[in-house]
Amino acid sequence: MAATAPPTTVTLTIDGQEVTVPRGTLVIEAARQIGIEIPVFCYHPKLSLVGACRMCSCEIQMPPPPGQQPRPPGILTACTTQVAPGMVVNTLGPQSTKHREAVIEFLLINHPLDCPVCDAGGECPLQDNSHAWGPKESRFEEHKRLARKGAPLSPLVVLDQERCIVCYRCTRFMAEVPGQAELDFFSRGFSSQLRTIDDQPMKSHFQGNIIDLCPCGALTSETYRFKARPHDLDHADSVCAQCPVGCNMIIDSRSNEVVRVRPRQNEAVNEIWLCDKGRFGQYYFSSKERIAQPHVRQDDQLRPASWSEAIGSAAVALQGVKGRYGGQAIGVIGGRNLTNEDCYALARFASEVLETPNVDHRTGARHTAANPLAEHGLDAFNSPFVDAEGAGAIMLLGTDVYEEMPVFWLRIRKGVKNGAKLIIANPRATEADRVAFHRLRHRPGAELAVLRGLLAALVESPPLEGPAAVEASPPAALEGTQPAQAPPPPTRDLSGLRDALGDASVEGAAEACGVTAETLRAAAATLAGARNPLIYVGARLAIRADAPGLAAALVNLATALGQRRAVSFFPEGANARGAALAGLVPGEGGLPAGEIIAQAAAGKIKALYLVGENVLATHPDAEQARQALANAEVVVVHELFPTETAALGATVVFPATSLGEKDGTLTNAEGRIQTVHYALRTESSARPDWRILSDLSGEMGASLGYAAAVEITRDLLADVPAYAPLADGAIPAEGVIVRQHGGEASDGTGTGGPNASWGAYVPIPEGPALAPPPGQEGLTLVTYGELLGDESTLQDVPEVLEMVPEPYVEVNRQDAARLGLTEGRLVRLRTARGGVERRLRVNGRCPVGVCYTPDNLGRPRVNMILDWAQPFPTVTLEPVREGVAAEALAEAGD
Amino acid sequence: MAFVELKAPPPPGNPVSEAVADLTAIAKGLGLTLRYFFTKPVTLQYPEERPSLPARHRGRHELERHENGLEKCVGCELCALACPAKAIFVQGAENPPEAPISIGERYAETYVVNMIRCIFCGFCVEACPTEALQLKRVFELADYSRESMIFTKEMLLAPRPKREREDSWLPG
Ligand code: SF4
Ligand code: SF4
Ligand code: SF4
Ligand code: SF4
Ligand code: FES
Repeated sequence: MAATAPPTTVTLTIDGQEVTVPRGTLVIEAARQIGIEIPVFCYHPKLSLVGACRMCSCEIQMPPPPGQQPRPPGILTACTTQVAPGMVVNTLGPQSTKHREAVIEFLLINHPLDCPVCDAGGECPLQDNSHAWGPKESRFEEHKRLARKGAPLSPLVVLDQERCIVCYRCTRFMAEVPGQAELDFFSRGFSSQLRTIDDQPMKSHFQGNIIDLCPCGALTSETYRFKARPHDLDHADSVCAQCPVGCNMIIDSRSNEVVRVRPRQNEAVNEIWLCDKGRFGQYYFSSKERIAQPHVRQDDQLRPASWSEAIGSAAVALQGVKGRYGGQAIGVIGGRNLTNEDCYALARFASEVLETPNVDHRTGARHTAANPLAEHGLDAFNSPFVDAEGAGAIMLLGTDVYEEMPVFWLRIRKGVKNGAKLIIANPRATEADRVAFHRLRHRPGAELAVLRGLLAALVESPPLEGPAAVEASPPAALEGTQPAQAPPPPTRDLSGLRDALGDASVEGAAEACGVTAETLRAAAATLAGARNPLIYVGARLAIRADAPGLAAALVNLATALGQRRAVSFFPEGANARGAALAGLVPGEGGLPAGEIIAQAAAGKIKALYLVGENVLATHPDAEQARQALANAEVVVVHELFPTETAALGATVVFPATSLGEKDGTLTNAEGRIQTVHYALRTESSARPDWRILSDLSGEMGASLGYAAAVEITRDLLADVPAYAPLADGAIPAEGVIVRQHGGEASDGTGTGGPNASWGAYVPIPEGPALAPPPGQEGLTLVTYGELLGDESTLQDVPEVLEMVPEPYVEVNRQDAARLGLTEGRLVRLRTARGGVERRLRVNGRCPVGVCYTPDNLGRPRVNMILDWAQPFPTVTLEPVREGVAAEALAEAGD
Repeated sequence: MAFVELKAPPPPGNPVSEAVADLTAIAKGLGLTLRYFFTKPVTLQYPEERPSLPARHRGRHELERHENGLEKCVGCELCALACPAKAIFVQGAENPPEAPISIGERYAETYVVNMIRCIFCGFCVEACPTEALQLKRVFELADYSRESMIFTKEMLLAPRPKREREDSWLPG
């Protein structure tokens, strides 16, 4: 560093203590470092600075210029003032305390005396600061301002305008963190009004966070409203299992019922945020709809049974199938949403008791080959979540990350704010598109062609220099977040890539995928020119028939970009990573989950063992799943809720306990193993999945012999090579990232590991054609899962159900005009299989010729009309006359 | 701290003066008995006779109402928080605007006092911000089962105004 550079640290005095902090630190943070807490309302370390409340005012004195008299200290806000050398800060000076007293007195002028009825009472910064700093009495004798009380900002968040102290935390959060400026202040001064900008309910998936941020009771939660006081609550540290982010949360319960969920800080995973599904979607632990008792089928009717009877009859039935047809005839599906302990018990049960290789957690997975991702080392997140903050370019392929892993989207947005260029390849526009740099709107199912196009563009014009020359050093906000700031390899040899690509050209690929060649070239140049490019791939692509080709193309892309960690696949469920590690993947000659169902429908698999898998709703071909359930001789189901699979197909149903009632561990997308603690006692006779498996195995004569979850954790950590460093059983509170393959050493942070095929170009196998060729009659249907789908976990809370969109189908304006359909019409989505009714949304998200519907919303699910052989079917839309539902049903049936 | 030393027993004295002292003591005792024999008794022939309790007697809880019949209690749980015996359980709920129960946004959906635990200290009354809670002069709380000692909100609520007060038989 040049000798003239200013020093990077600053020494100042706060309340008589000297402290040295980096230049640019705020006075308030410097004080925090030496344990001095300055009271605040508007300041929040995760938000921008506004200096709106003046609560943090301190007496701050600057050293006089040489030869001059010192000037008296000024009153400055510690939250907006940066440290300076020789600065003297007095946080408790008489002027500053007087100032604070005045601030509180002013705030309380219009703040109602609501504490006894206010949900924030007992955990309210305004209460606490008033006690600590406020005047004993108010001199205010006039009438207080009256404003809206109990006004919903959405079905989930309630505003009390009288209580609002106008700190702008909520508006700043919405505008800055998820980038959805849905809230703003209207009017000013004492008539300031917090409103949604369009006066419509808020729609964001992150609105719950503003309840946490509000420093008083102005924003409260509709689901927690008046249910309890902070001192009533029992707390349990847990981890959300609604998506693979694995956000850390605290479950607050009262009288053995979940009353609210709060985020638990983990800077590496969720920072301090939760999405609304995580926050409002955990009430199902205490749902009244849960199955309370085992059931067995008798005369085609499920009837309640005792545990011993149910276990006995499942054991006899499974033993029968095993005796007659061998273990090969049994298929086991489950694990995506279970704890690692349940997964491990299930894996052992399948291999040791049922002796079947047909085990899988990836519902709908259809390649018969060995896991094509594992072959290239892509079956793990190859970089920790935090890396997204420092990426130079981020590509999202085949995922609506806002719906798939919402809180991870916040991390990607942070990366984008830090300068990452976002490249999105998706057949339709998603929330993320709003900040995208390149949008590759490709034909449905043409991801492989997009990747070929990018690779061909890289071959065509290899970058002249290493990417480090293009992007400057990583943004300053990121110290310490980059485990691998290793410079990219100096030369990037693209010669092998041409051979791997064969005769693919950019123009050819552009033709095949429907993205223009210029866009492909521009996106490729952005990727190649970026330091630390990262590519995130949606889970749906991992289980598609062309996954081997995608994996090969992606690993080639990583090699071509010189970025070993570039490619990460999202897992197929909350604990899919953990399930795979615990062994819930097809064994030698075993079938993947989709094939298990297909084979069962064909009568080759005779028994199905489904743990938390409602295959009728999740298998991509409901008709096939129905046949599978009908043809299988034995179907054993572990379930929380009376699902259609349990009701229609199960021979034996075991009620399982929910995550809130279990101890155990979960492994999130980035491979971080984290501990969950039980929050509730089980009131029904439901049992944890591992215990059911252990009991059943005992009955079948090969006991797993587990009596407590910790025993399984111990075995799991000792048995799975990736967990070996944890074998002493200590998992720290913030979790540890483990590698999928025990191989390559981790680098201090426990992260990393290679793409196995990195460094050499591999041939890209051609995948089957997935979508009909363009220019056909009808629309090509694209389906994805949405965050608020799978309503069974939300069904008990009407407020949350209100947030769930009515099942809809989305088409382009041009298509709607051509078909003569308008927004809001009820339409029937038809394939050769039949039709489902959906509400029409007309907008510009889908390109012409494509329509979209979420596949985890609405009954019947869209998989009713889908065919296993056609992931992107051609559909027609026809209007339905409303109010004639019976007619419509009859028609759909014929 | 030093222990108080016990005095040695007095040496055996004159038997006559001892007998006189004993008899005097007996006469004194009987005199006292005789005096009380002619004073008004302090005991009551309960249950035929009822006590007259001081106005501030701390007996059974009552949840008061406003004059318009709405409950004063807003379900704030401050009484439960103040209670040293953890005798009170309150669960709030949103006050239905179309058929309000209390005057606030919130009301006590569940309000339970466990009379076995209660030590009638009155802290709950002091804590209540709405003067909803009173300890009344109802003291006949004995019963045969523990369950019957759980007083629910229905049992504790004051009747609607213009009613026969259940403790109106009490004098004073
Ligand atoms: S609603 Fe709460 S967070 Fe928003 S400005 Fe008002 S006090 Fe601040
Ligand atoms: S992002 Fe995922 S893990 Fe986090 S709270 Fe939402 S659903 Fe749960
Ligand atoms: S009188 Fe005392 S012990 Fe009884 S309920 Fe009230 S606070 Fe608790
Ligand atoms: S009785 Fe008083 S202190 Fe107790 S909950 Fe009701 S209002 Fe609050
Ligand atoms: S906290 Fe500093 S001005 Fe609000």
